[in-house]
Amino acid sequence: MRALGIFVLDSWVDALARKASLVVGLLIAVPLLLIAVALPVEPGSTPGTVRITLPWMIFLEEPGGPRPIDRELPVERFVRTVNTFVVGFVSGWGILMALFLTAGLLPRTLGRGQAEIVLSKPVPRWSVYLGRYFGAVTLFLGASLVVILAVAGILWGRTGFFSARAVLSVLLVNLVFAALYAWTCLLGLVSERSGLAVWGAVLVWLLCGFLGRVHTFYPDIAASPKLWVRVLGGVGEALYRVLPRTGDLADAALEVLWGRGLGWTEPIWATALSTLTLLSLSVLWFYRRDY
Amino acid sequence: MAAIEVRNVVKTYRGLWAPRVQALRGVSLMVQEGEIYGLLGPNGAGKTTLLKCLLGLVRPDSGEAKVLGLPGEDPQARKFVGYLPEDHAFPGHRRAVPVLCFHASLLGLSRTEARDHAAKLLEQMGLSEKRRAKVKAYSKGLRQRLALAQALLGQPKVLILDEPTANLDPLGRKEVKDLLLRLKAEGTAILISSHVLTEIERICDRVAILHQGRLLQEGTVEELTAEKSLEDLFVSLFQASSNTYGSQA
Repeated sequence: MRALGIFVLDSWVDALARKASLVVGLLIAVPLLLIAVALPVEPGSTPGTVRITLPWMIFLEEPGGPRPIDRELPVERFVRTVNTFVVGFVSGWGILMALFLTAGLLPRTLGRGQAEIVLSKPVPRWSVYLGRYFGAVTLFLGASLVVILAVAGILWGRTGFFSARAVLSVLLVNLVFAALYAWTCLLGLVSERSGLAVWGAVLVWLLCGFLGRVHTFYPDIAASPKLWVRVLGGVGEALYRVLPRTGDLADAALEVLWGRGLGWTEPIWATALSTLTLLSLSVLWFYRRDY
Repeated sequence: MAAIEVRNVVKTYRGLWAPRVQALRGVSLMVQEGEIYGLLGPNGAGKTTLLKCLLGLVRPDSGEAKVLGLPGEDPQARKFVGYLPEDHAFPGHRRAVPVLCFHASLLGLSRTEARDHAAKLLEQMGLSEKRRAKVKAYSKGLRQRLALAQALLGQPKVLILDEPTANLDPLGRKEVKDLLLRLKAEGTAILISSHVLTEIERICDRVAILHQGRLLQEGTVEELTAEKSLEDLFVSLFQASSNTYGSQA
């Protein structure tokens, strides 16, 4: 366990020692914090409301397209709308950037020349692999929590409403990253190329999202008179069951954020099981590999 | 107990797309404490594979490769072993001290011990002035010195060195030679793989000549060089071996 901790800690040090990590981290965090600080919001005419005046439109679930805004709305709704934007930003752009920045951790450690040095030390192999994996996962968890808590804190200071649900929602986003990063690690281990690892993980991400959408039409597909449609649909449904449920988790994150609660926890357990299985297979393969 | 013990080690690399390569065909050798043992052989002889078997980096198909009485796959066996690979790499964006401290922590050293060790080894390897530079700014020679420094972390009882003087200038080679002789006097068992015959001849107590995964000859430097120079012996053994086993390789 000590070796695992060393690799987790070193992953943070390694990531923070790279200027690119700091630059990208700031590029993500600063705009979000600026939005929270600079949004033109003031107390509304009635308790529990805020007045927002914007010369342009932001997403407020209102039909009609872009137009200037000058209206009062419940403070909870305002805070959750901003949090939706922040969580959406972190779950999309944040995950993509985190994959790019951390994809090289394992290939660098286990690349030619470094693997021999690291693996000749008295550390079990699983600690190297899982140390790098959890290093990146905890780094993303820490960074995303800092951003969401900072935004939530600023909004709390300005409106008096603190949304703890945003934190819960970010945990679900982190599960998506953890699932995708397990693929990044496996692809990085096999190919020893960080580029291939990150693009492979992005492809898995797109595939998972696509399968999630196809799943909603599965009853129609299964009832199709054409055999090839039914076979393809069956394969897609099988993959949906096995692969991480990234799309469902994104939906779940929004449901949590808006206080609708988690009516279905299946995507969480399915994704966790899929990730654990992939990690176990990766470590087994790593154990058998010659360096 | 021998510091290093290799018994009938056989290793064949099998790739899905690559042809099978028999890297080791029943190699046996022993290295005692306070002994420098040289492994000689042309490229592809199986020298590096043998060293990697001792460190658990490569798993033998059969036979035993033990360090300090424990099989190489056992992490405890590697606790007192320093290894310098032929091709080594360090993260270019890190500096020498954090690199050494990281490797020292993997050996179980505390943070203070790791820093002290790192500072001492950087001084010993002539890297003190470059300690603030990033590794990517190091020359090949400086990287070789840094790699040697990481192999010496934790005062190992067994040193396994693959081409230790590669990329070093004559002064660096002499420094390494003196260092190895001092470590030998302190009781460290040292296994060196090298192409440089003069280097092996000067510092090794015993030498093994490896070719196509077979150990062709083993003995003290005096025994092997009684009739002809090491270079002549090296060439004649390879020619004879290639004629005998060439078709099986």
